[in-house]
Amino acid sequence: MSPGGEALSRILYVEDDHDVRKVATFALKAVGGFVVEPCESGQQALEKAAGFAPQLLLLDVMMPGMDGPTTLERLRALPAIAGVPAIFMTAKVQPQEVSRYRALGTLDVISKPFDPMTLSATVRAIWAGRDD
Amino acid sequence: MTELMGAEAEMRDALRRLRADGVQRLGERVRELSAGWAALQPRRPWDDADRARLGELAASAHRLAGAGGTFGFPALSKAAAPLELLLLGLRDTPAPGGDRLRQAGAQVAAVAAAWEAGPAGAEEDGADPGQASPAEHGEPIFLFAEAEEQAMLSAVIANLGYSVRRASEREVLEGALPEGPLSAAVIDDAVPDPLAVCARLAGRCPLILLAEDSSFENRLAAARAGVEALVAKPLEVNELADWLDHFAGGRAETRYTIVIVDDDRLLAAAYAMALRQAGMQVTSVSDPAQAIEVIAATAPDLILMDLQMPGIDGIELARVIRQTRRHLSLPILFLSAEQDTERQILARRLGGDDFIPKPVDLDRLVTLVRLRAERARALRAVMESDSLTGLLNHARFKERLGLELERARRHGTTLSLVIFDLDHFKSVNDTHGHLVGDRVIRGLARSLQKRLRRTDVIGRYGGEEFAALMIGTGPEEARGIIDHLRERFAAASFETEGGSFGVTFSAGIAGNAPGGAGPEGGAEAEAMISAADAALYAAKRAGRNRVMVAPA
Repeated sequence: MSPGGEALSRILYVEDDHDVRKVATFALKAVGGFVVEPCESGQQALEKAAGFAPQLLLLDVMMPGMDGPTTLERLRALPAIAGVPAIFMTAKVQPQEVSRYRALGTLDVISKPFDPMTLSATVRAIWAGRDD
Repeated sequence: MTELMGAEAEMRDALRRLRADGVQRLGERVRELSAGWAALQPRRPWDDADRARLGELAASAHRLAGAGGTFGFPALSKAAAPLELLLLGLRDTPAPGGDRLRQAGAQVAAVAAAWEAGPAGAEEDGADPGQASPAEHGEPIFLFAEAEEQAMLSAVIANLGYSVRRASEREVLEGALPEGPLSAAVIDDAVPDPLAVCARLAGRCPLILLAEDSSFENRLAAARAGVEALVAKPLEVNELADWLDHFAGGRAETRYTIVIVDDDRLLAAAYAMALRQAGMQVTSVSDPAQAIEVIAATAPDLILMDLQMPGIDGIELARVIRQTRRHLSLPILFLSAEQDTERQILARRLGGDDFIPKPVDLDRLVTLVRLRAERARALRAVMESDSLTGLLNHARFKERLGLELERARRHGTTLSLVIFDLDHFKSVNDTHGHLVGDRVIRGLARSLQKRLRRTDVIGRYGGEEFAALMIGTGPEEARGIIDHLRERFAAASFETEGGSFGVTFSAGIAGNAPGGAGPEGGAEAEAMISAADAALYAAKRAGRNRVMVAPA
């Protein structure tokens, strides 16, 4: 389907808000049929990442402790994760912010709040367009 | 099938339970936020611990902004986002002024009200969770046609500047639908049971049906299947293009551009956030002295201005803005804590269009700004554009020519003026009638819009005469571009019931004087128009269907 060929299955998802994490994880699994590893903090993501071998990282930007961009930077320092594409999720989407995140090598930014019913389709569309 | 539906029902059920948990927590957060804010009020001036508490409240607001819409409270998300900004601003301001405090207080109340109002209705629920509009991201046009037609139609749509998502063979056979957002769907009625396909797609995106049978009965059946536009075959590309622009192309243009002039950056940022949430483009200026420059550069639809600013009064600034003719009809909204009706009347007389009391109700702000901008833009469009093509009219085009020449002189850049005239247009009207003639006019207008750059200025100069200003393009380069356009236009054919025919145009080009050496002011514009006109005349005399450049 996508020009890159590889179908998306495994997503490492980092979000500190308990309820949002629950809903998004469920939606990605049930609606999108993805295999999802939810993490409640950047620290937990660092512990789980290599073992889970994700194809995509989905990161909340603003988290207490280690924020999204820092988490991404530390994840990318892991050899197994170095080339894994990432998507940020954030409640504050300002144009300059998006270009800053893009500069960090992310595929796209999904604005929060998101609709659980369409989240999977959004992720899939970004994934399909990643080689453009 | 039933098993599948059972699984889906189960899934929705599970999601509903998760949502209920989320909603409960939203309520707790809103109550904490209100109570936390109230508890801080008698403690002013705030010490470090109080400021830390403001930071915590801001984090709460952030979570509400991020989660509200996901759990069915989009209005709560919208209200909480600017609150986060305001609370962080207060935390970082040593002695915050009354305006900031009152605005934050109003926003805490707005968050509570958004919670009290309950979840959005089923229709709104999740319909607009983010601000992404399809056109901005260029969501594709879904093309539903059989293989032979598909290649041709897909080329036509792509040529109009839209991305195409073709239905696969399986999708056509089974009437299956693609995932992901679509900005419109084009359905060819040669596919099996086209109206059933339409009925299934209805509601997902606007539907355009290409129909062999355009009888009333078929139109009615199509309308019942949810079809919004029916284009009769043989396909008239212009008609399809108009519909695609209507459904998929219009959004970017309707984005309002707003300039905020307020010396308080924090408040300006909060207003800007609310307007951006509503899809508007916002530029903030905190130094009133720079306002004129920013307004000239951004050509806004509306100005939002604080009435009381240090150094300059908002009324004075409005008068300065109105000194420029182009800004005479630009709406200005004042933000004011002032109760003084005398002064409000004065402000209105001197150029203000409306007042918004401070602290600002951000919902109301968005509504007012949208209404005013909408009306101003509609008025301006009528005043400035040609009714048939939507291009700039003659007067407005000449005004732009003057402005652009001035700008080119300042920056030492080049620009070219092109004047086009359709060849033997009178005989088109005589042979095919005015309606067909109008279609040809619109056809040329569209190819100019499509082939020239967005920054170029295009006008309808008279009956069958057009003009274009190609910014940053010298006459020789312009000749290449226009000549290419001429070939394409000449190769296109217009379909009528009596058969098809082609039309050509001639064009004359003149460049501006390099290095600003030409005559000053209006004289340079006049000289350029005469030169381009003379070149056009030469092209006509040399046999038409050609492009000539005026000697430098």
